[in-house]
Amino acid sequence: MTFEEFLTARLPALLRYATVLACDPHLAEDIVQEVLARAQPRWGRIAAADVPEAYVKRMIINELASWRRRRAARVVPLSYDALDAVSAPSDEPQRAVGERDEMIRRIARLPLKQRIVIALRFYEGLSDHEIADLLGCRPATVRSHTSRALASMRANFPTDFSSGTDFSSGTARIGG
Amino acid sequence: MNEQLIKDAYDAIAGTAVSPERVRARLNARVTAHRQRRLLLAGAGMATAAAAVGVPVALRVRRGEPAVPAASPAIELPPTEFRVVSLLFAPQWLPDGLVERFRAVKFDVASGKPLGGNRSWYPTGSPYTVEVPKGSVSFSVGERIDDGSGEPVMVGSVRGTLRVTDSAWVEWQPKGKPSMIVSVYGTADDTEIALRVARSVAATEETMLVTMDLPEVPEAFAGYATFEVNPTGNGTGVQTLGYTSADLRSGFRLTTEAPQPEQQYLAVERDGMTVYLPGELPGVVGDGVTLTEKESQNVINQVTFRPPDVSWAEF
Repeated sequence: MTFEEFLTARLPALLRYATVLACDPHLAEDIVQEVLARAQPRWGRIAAADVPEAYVKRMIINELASWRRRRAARVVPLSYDALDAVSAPSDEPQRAVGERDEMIRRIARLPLKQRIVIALRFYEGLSDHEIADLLGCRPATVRSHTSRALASMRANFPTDFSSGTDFSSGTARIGG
Repeated sequence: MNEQLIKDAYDAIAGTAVSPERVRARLNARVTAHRQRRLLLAGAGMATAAAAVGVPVALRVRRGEPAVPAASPAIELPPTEFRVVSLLFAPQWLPDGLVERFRAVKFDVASGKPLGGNRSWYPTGSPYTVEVPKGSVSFSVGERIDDGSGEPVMVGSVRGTLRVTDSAWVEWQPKGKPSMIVSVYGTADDTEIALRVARSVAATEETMLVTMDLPEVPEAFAGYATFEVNPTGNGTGVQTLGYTSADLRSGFRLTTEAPQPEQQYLAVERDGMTVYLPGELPGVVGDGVTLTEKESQNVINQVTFRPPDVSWAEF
């Protein structure tokens, strides 16, 4: 697969992936651009890997962590502009929109590692072991991050929004 | 709160991703800019590591031991009066403790008209390095980032752009003047310093002596020339003269920097100085024309040079 073919096939998904991890579409854009610019000159080697997309996704995570370190004093996860961009379809029930936006805010406020773990779990659908492999840590560490993240997300969640199956009874279903 | 709510939230966040076309456009612009920079500024200060990728040049293959010249033509060259090129603009304020450590100028090959250049100031005492150290300020004239990112700032009465990555970049273009960029890396407050440096920029009468010259530039490459000097701290420095076509697709460079191992090159030695014409491997963006073998020989035979003027540099 050439670099161009890879871009054609996977760039939209990579952008969504980076946006979910960064909780900021503009930061995600910068990160994806940076990663692809670095990947392009050595694409021959990357493409030779079994799953080049996995390699690039790992680069995105590393780049996000790096940018976070460099821009720690300046970056506020999920800007208000970004939040505004999350527009709800008009026929969506207002209550559901309120719950979802509140959830977005809570996700965006999570510490970076917790946010990455939660995104990989709920957006990418990865298991603890797969996340641990990707992040280079132990599955127990992944479970710890997940547990703490869910506790933060759950804390004081407005009761008006409580609907459907509540999983405040434990993290086993979603936190491992 | 349930699992579906989290998934819905992520779907909504993912839905805010920017369009792939926008990223592709930025990538293409970046490749073009990288190529331009490599062709124009390739050399010790800017692109040592990137030198293995670029426009293929038909050269006799020589590998390794780059200090040994490939050719020492017994050609009598007329005395050369080297070109003096204006730096056009310069910052009038810099943070304390910085000294100038890199200069480059760009000019039109046919007319000699100055088009811009680059200067860098490093913290006093920084060793000779091809990488910009922390605490440094760089200023360029005639270059643009132009990728649509950043936030608006005012530079005097001109609206500019501030970008913050691992450095702070201020870009602006006064009416009727070339575009300019100040970048600050690794200081206590890159953004504030970059803005202050940018707002101090004014026209200058400072010049740079171009101590390499090629009397006959092959027509396909006679668009722009860039000359750069990277002082090494012992009263001299690495100098590089690059030529590119007007569309920036084709180029070659002459340099006093020894080629990388395995890199092809021609070389000439005179008065104890060696100048190399490196051949470069076809790269990811290589659709320009190349020097023929005859042109390569003419270039290396005709280049004139002397030790660079590094009187402006401090260590």
